Amino acid sequence: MRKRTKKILASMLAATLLLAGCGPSADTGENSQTGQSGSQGSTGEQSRGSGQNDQQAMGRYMESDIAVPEEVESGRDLRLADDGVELVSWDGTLYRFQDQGQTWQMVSQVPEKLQERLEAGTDSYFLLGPAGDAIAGYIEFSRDEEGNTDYDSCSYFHNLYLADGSSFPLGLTGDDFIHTAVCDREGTFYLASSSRVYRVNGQDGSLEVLAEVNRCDYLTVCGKYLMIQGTELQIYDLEENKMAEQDTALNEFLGPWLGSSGDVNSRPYLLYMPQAEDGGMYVLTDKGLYHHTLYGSTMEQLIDGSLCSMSDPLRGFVNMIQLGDAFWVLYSGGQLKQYVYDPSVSSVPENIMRVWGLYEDEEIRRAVSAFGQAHPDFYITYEHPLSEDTGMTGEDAMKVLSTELATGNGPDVLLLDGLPYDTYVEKGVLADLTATLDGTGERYMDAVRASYERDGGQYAMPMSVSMPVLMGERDKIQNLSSLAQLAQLAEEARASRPEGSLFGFCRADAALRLLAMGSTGSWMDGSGGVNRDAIQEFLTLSKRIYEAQLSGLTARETESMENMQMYVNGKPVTQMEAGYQLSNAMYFCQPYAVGMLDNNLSTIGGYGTVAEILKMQEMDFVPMPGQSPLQGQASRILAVNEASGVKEQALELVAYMLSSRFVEDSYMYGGSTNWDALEAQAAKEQEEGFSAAMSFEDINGNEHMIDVSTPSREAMEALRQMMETCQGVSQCDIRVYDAVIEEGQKALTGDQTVEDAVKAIENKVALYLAE
Amino acid sequence: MKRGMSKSGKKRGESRGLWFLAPSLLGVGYLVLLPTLDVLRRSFATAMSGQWVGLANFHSVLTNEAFRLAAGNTLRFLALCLPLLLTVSLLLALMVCRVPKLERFKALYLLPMAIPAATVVLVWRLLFARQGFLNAWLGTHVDFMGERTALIILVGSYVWKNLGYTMVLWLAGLKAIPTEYTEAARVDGAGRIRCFFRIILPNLKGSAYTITVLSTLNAFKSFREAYLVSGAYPQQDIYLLQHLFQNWYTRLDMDKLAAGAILMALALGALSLLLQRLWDRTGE
Repeated sequence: MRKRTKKILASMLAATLLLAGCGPSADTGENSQTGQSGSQGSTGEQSRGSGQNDQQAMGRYMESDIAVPEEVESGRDLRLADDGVELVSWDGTLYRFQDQGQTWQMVSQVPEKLQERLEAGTDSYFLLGPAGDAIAGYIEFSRDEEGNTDYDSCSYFHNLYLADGSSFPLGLTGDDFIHTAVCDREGTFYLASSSRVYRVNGQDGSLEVLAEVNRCDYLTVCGKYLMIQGTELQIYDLEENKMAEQDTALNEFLGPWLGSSGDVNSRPYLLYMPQAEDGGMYVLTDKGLYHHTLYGSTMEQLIDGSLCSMSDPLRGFVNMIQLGDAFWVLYSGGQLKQYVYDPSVSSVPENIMRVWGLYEDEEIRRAVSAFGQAHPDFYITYEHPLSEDTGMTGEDAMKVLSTELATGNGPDVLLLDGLPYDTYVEKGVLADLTATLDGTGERYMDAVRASYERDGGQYAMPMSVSMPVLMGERDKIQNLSSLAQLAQLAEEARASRPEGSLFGFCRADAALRLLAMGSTGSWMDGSGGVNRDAIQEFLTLSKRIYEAQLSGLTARETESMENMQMYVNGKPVTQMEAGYQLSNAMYFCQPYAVGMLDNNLSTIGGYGTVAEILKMQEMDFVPMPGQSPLQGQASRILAVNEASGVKEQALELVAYMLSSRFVEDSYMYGGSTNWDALEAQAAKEQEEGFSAAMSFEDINGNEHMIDVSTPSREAMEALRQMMETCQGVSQCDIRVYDAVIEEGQKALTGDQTVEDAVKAIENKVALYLAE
Repeated sequence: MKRGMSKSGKKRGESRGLWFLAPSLLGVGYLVLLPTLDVLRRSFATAMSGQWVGLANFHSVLTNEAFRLAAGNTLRFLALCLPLLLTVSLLLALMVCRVPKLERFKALYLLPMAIPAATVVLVWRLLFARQGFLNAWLGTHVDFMGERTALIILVGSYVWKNLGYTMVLWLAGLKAIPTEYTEAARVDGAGRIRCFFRIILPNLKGSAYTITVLSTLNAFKSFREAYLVSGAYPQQDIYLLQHLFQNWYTRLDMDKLAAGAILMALALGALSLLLQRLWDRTGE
């Protein structure tokens, strides 16, 4: 009898162990330690691979738009009032949204003069209190006799505006620059400069210093606490009037965002404590919305940022509120979104799509975020192993990818930058994009498409392409087409100009990287080997150009160039952008510069800057003279995994990333490979306009002012004409390129002969090519 | 009373024993046997689609220049370091055997084995880099890991790391030889050298087989150091089979990788059988 009981017990135990298993539980939220009702939208580790998500947990916050008043293009504040939600527009106008109301009602406006300043954006901060008081700091530039603005002369003003119409200057002493302000529920204002936190006396504008801090970017009132947000989060107890203990868990969690720059109306993260919460607060970041109890140890994810607008890199946060069970978030572009919990939808979308690239890219993140919003039934993850603090090397990442691809669990969309395209095509990893691209009806660059064609199919398409150019005096460069001619030009320039920089490099590897832009296409022979003669010729000619450059460099120029050198992980980085190289040319008063030109129109350093400097300097650009015909440099090379479980949607995402509707809102580095998108982007830029000014001193102490604006139609046409002559994109093997740079620089500096360098290059790549 | 088990009782005992063995057999089957069979299958198929290609992968591997070079280097490395390690460690073990005080430091001899590969690599870099200590001492400017000296460094490192461990193994073997044998030989007028070759060495055969196999396996671990110092493409002389296999894996050449692995397993199996046969023959 006893034996039988033992047997039964043993069998039950075995069955229990077998059924329980030791795998992860269903709720594996990345940051959700407790989980409000266990399932509200937290995601965490998803099942590897793509396709159907096997988690059955239900309930998620769903995002929806809330219309703001038509005249509001951008908001400054969003807050809860006793009788509804209040929105403060860019010009300081207050609107109220009643609980059940369908429209916004304008409640009040700030004084006319202040409104003008706010509209002009000359304020450093502005805040409207609940009782109608306001506080603002702004800058005013002097004007000369003719009424022109003198940007060198300005004054700062900090005022308190009372609801009764009176105003006082704030009692600031010294030159403390206030840049952020906050108001508590009672209407008391708090201000902060980078080193001090003040409380404002609402009667007369006098200031009381509350704390001296190392840095303060933003202030937030959370109940009785004032959160001082700098490179760390410090807490000031407003009741006790002293600094409180730090919240270790919150500080640790906010680590990646603390100290990141933004402005007061576009914050990278928000802290929010509703009145009803006793010590409970919300933290909003691009990763999502989290709940945290002050001085608690957990951060509970309520909303996954990658499932909504929160992860969009182009949007900052202005403010958020909790209204009943819903959250309202005001974004920097003036968009107001509502997040309402829906228990009937699964906690994460049932379908998973993975986007994978070695490095993080903001444009890809933006595309993923936008596509995700349009496809709420998809959970799209964007993985970039080398951008995360994992200590992973490129080879490690590629090995992990190989494992996933070999087991059929690879990412759905791949960014092939730094990955072997031909190998993947040969192994049948990639899906053919031909039908997808043809089906969009958009015009892509034929030469770029042709570069990725293999055996009648096209398995990848880059989003961006940049063009290598030589910039200099029009009549001197316009007939140059080969590297030999460029070497001759360098020697002639040095003969006529014994001193001074010619091309803007002093390091041998930087010289090779810049000069290689027009030659890499000739370094491989047709059968997969290296073209020995082409590499030898390249090094020989590069050595002539390098020697011509170095022979006239003064010690001061060399020192300046070394000081301006950027390093990443201890390695010198060569800045290839034409705008950067041209700015350097201006600084060193050089006659020539080489760099990568793109269709990035409106940003400082983009084509707008290049076009302006070229005009100022009476210079022009031509395709980079080299050993091969003009070849662009591709980036964000998109491909789809042939074995993807959601191939159709992955192809749709790729088409979206390449489309005009996505690109026209883009500020990406590198011009689009889609002609329609380029035209749409240019038209939009022309329509919206763009202007900025930059000034700098050259090496001789002369001051230069550059007014950057949207390039003219002629300048756009010149760029377009050059892009049309592009013969494709450079597909030089990265190992061959690295070997040429590594061994070639020794040849340029005289540590070895060109012949020895070529032999060393051949030896270096022989193993790789033989494999 | 006669004690013992009946035939059926014995069978029942055996089947019970099998039940106890079942978990480990299942583990070995799942974690070793199945993957091996999968590798075998892949060696006859294309990399990703898995289509049957017969012996094409083996042909591709055997005609691959990189494979030939890597296999040659691996063999050369084994041929250099194994005899060196086995001889030097045996001589040291004999020396330690003669000086009993030295045996107290047995744990110290194993220290190099305990040093992590990453630390060893750091020392290598400090010593052998162009700006390293060795160049400073010699007044030269040579990248020792980028020249033909790389192989010597790799062999030296292997011997240094395994010397103590192998010596301790030899010591165990030496201790197992009854002292009466050598004492009797001495009484019969045999010298030290004769004693070594006629008494000690024949009695070490059992240990020698194990030590040789272990040393061969440890030799393959030298790849870690070579990889950490010089990456996926080191100086040609230290480009080993593991370099090639890893690069094939990264580039998704699973077909070649599988065929190469099968060839390597066959070669190792043949070597092991050969060694065993040699041992058996000399033992007869």
